[in-house]
Amino acid sequence: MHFNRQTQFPAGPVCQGLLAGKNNWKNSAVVPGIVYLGRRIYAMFTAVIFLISFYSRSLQWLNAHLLTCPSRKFLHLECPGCGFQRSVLALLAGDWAGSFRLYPATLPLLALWAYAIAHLRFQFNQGARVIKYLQLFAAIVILAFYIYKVVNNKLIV
Amino acid sequence: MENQPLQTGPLSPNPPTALPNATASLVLGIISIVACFCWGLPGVVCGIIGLVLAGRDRKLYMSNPDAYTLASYKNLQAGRTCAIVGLCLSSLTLITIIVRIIMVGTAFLTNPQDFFHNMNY
Repeated sequence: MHFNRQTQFPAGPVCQGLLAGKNNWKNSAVVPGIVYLGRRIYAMFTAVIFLISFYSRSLQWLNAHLLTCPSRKFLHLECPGCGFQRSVLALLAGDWAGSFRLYPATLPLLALWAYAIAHLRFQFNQGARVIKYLQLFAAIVILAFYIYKVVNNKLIV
Repeated sequence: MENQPLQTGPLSPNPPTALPNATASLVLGIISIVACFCWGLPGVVCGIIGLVLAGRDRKLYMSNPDAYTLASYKNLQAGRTCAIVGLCLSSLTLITIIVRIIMVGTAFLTNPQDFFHNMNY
């Protein structure tokens, strides 16, 4: 009489003695080490794939839901801050050159905010002076980029 | 007891404290550089509030320098500079946008019938 192993013997400690053969680990509660390792690697791989896809879908969602600048919307002219969100999204997607092209002041501004938060937390010795100069640098970059846009006719949306 | 002078300094019973609005001034100064958003209005508001807070705390520090820490005074100065920079940028943005609205309005009012006809995108 032929019995299907899968249906006849459910996995569990009761069946362990019966199914302790070489190839019967599938129905057993205790699996060999290499199989366990394989399952762990598969789970980690799945998790990484899930995280990457979630990140990319979040970026897509953000790309579709950018805040619109009032100046851009109503006057059809860009303001000194236009391009910051697109630049940050380009940076998140790994496009450093594109980020710089869209808005050169992104990196100084992000560095300034990160340094300011760290300074408020840890109280660096020369922190106040560094923040001051970073702010000046960011302002100069913003102004220079705006003048560049005006001169090169890139202001009109 | 009440006639004793108020002792301040590192080893005194009244150790120096941080200025009350130094951190707030610094944060407002840093925020005010995001001048662009919403025609520069938030930048102007944050910059003015930061400047006022910095001025008030500066007076406080000048009246009694030993009662407050030097680090917080440095933070306050940095916040004041940041607020001035952010205020300059955001007020420039605001003025530019007002000038643009005036220009567009003048152009519209000089020839209302032909304004949209002559627009070239």
